[in-house]
Parts: sequence; C-alpha cells; structure tokens
Amino acid sequence: MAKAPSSVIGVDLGRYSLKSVLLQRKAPNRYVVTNFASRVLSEPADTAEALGRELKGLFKEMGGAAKAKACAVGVSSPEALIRIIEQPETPTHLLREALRLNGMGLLNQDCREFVLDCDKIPSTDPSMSSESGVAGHQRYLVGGLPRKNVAQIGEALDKAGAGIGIMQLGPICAFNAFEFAHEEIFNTEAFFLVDIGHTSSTVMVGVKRELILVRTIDFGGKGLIEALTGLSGEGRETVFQAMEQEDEVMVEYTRVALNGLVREIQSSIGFLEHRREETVRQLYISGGAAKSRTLLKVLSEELQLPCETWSAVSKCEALLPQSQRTAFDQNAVDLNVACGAAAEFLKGN
Amino acid sequence: MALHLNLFHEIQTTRQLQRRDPLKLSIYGLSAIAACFAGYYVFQFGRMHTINTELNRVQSQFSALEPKAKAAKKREEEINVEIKKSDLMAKRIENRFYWAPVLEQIAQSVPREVQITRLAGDLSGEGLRKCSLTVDGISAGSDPRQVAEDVRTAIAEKIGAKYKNVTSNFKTLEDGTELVVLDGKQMPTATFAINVQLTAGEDAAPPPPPRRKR
Repeated sequence: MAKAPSSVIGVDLGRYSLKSVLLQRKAPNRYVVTNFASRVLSEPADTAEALGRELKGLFKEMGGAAKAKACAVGVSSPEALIRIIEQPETPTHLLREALRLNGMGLLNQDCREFVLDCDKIPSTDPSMSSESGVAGHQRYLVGGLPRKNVAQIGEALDKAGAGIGIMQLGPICAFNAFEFAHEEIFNTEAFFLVDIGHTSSTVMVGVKRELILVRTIDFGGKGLIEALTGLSGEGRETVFQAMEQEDEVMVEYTRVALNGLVREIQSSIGFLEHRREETVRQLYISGGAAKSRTLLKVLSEELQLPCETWSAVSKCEALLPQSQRTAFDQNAVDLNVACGAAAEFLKGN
Repeated sequence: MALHLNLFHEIQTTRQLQRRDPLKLSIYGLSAIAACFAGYYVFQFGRMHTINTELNRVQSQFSALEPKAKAAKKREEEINVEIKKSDLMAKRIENRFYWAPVLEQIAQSVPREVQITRLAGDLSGEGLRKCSLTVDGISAGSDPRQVAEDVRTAIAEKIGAKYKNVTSNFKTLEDGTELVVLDGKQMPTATFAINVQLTAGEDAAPPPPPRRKR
C-alpha cells in the first residue's frame, strides 16, 4: 500500500488570480505552511498552455516545490455547477453514475458535458435530514465542471510538472477550510460565509456541520471598484486610497455599491432563519476585498451583524522565510480555498 | 472534512485504466518476449558467426593440409611396400637353412672306405622346417654293407646331436658288382642310398586365444 503523502500543494485556481500554499502535516492536528505564492492574471488563462505557464510561474515562486508533489486544486469558475439534491440513501459512487447517466432527471440540467461528483451532506438532526419531508431521503451535494475545463486544468498541471491529487470546487474548499479553521463554530453553530471574488461572490450557509445553502452572487471586487470609480469619478488608486482612509464620501459610495450584495446576503439569512430555527450571529468574510476595513464596516452596519475576516492558515504554523512573512500575513485572508483544498487532501489520505 | 468532491475522478480512472490496459500490458509483455527472442537471435547469430569463422579456418587449414595428407598417404603406401619387402627379406634371411654344418657333419661321418657319389637335399615348411637329405654312395670293405650301415648310424648320431627328429634310413642298399683296391687289397663294394630326415627351426607362435564374450 502506498504511503499517504504528508505534504501537498493547495492551489486556488481562480479566473483572475492563482494562489497556492504548501501544507505539511506534522502530526494529526499539526499543520505547517512552508511556502506560499500568489499570482494575479491580467486576463483569464483560457488554454491549457497559458494556464500551465501561469502554474509553472506560480510553482517557481514557491521555489520549485511542486516537483513530484501532489496538488489539491480548488477551482472557482462561473461555469461550475453546485447543487444540493435529495435522494434516497444511495452510495455516492452509484449516485455519481446516476448523475452522469441521468443528469436531466436529477438536476434538471443537461450534464453530459460535465464531470460530476457528489457527497452526502452530513446531517446532525435526523428529523431535518430531508427538507421536502420525504422519509428516508438524504441530502447530497453535487458539484461539477465542464469536462473541457477539467481536462484543461489536468493538462495544465501536467505541463507545470505537478501531480494531480484532487480537484474540488472553490466554494466547497472554503467551506471545508472553515471547518479546518473554526471547528467548534462549524460543529455547534450556524455560520455564514461570504467569499468575495473578482467577478462574483459566493455565499455559504451551514448549520452544525451541515451545508444548507450555496449561492453565487454576481458581484465581486471588480464590480465594487467599477461602481466606486463610477460614483466618485476618481481613478482606481484614488478610490483605494480613500477606502483605506475611510473617507466619509467613499464610505457612502461603498454602502451604495454594496447594496445588491447586502440584499442577497439578507435574503440568504432570511432563508436560513425561515428553514431552520437558527440565528446567524456573525458573518465570516474572505476574499481579496475582505482586506478592506471600510467594506467590513459597511457590511456590518448594513446587515447589523458583526462581520469579520477569517483565515484558514491561522490554524497552521507558518515556517516561512522572513521575507515572505509580511506578504503571507497580508494574503492570509485570500488563501482559504488553497488551504482548504490542501487540508482536505491531507485529511482524506 | 465535511464535504469531499473530486472532479479529477474521471481523469484518474482513465489514467488508472490506461496503466492497467490489458492490450498495453500484453504489448509490453509481447515486446519483452520479442526482445528476448531478438536477444537470443543475436546471441545465436553471433555464435553461428563464430562457428562459421571456425569452420572456414578449419576448412582452409584442411585445404592446405589435404595435398600434404594425400602425399603422406602415398608415401605411407610406398613405405609400407618397402617395409613389407624388407620384412620379407629379413624373414628370408632369418629363416635360411645353413647347409654347411650339415654337410660338415656328414663329411665327418664318412670314413675312407666310403665314397659319396651324390648328395641331394630338400627343405620344406615355414618356421619348423623339415629337411630331407639323400646321400648316395659306394662303400667298400670286407663287409661293405656293414660299412654302409656304420655310415648311416654315424650320420644319424652326428646330425642328431644338433638337430631334432633325425631319422636316417636306407632307401637302397645293394651289393655292388665292382671290386675296388683299398690298401692294396681288392675289396667288394656296396651301393647305398641313405635318406636322412631332420627338423630344423622353431614352431610358429600359436595364434592368440579368442576373446571370451561376456
């Protein structure tokens, strides 16, 4: 039997940025980040060659650590499919085949061009296992990506010289990363995660280990900046600077710009409170935009709930060169998907 | 972890199947066998090449030596003939019968009253040779027959001392018609013919006994 790997590279494969962490498992509950890298793409890498080149550059920034190491990839893509379905208790490998052969019947969507996988959503409350109330039904998470995207990423990883470990969807990586970072909250409370991406944001709601809702909202950092530059008539740099200084006018503009996102978050909270008698006490924000204090302040005020950033790597020891320390602290909020993918791979093995 | 999805499962399954593809494995196996056969062929080819080289070397050596061998065989035959001749000559020389001692002894056995008129000898046989000697003569004396008898006995004794199976017999013994003067006296004569048989030489070596069959 092959020895389970003790280290893995977690890669967050976004459309406009690539992030990676090299995570090592020293003991059952002791994880160490020994390297990390972040790379912003000027335009989405639409071919395997371009993506392979970018991945190669990313791994090079990590000091060539990808050689002969497995990669756990978290993919964030607008084409990704995430559904929660209810099915009679079915082994996941059979359900996977059923989804492949009868995607239209189970997902109301033609999934022939998708690579699908599924997993049972653990339920803490047996009486609430099925929302439809059909006895014996279980909730399953179904995730998928167009087959060409999967093949492209596989080819790109091969070109970059990294081995394929697992490929997970970005939002699910973030969900798993939250369990990794805040296990107690994950196991005992309702939690609300917001991951603000470049062009879209993902909302994940869970209660006591159970995933209740996953939503993608077409509003991201790019949309926020465009809205702010539009409202203020200033350039990007000036907008950033004003946000850093918590300029009152800019705060108001931010409030206006975040209006849509706030509305969607409120409706999601309402969905949770309507379905489950649970109260969301706090919002956990991650993503590049979450580094802005103004954004967190506005969200807290608008939602009347405390909003704070969270980082999965805070659970890990950081054995990084001194030169990388500052950059790592600044990017920690952004490494949740990569860290979640890596931690899932290490725990799965 | 709460939720575990792996969208690489199709690629991983495909790669796993490709790794365990029976056709590919068979091709690998057959390639290995073919490589073994090729190696064996090369080995045998090399061996055959060595054998052919050796054969050519031996053949050229044989070609060079064949005329010499023929000449040597011819020479051998010639030498064998010479040896045979030489052996024959040696044998003849070695098997010669020496008449002189016989004649000397006969001469010693003849007294003055006897005159040998004819002497004939014949030799027969190989190895152990039988000699037949005919001595004709005239004896004189008061009793010429007794003189002849004495001569016969003397010859037998003399020759018998040296040769084997000596027999001495009269073929004829007759009174003569003539009278001879001996010591101033006329005496009667008798004519005789003595046949002396003797054996000379040695028996030929007996042939070796036949080998006993197991």
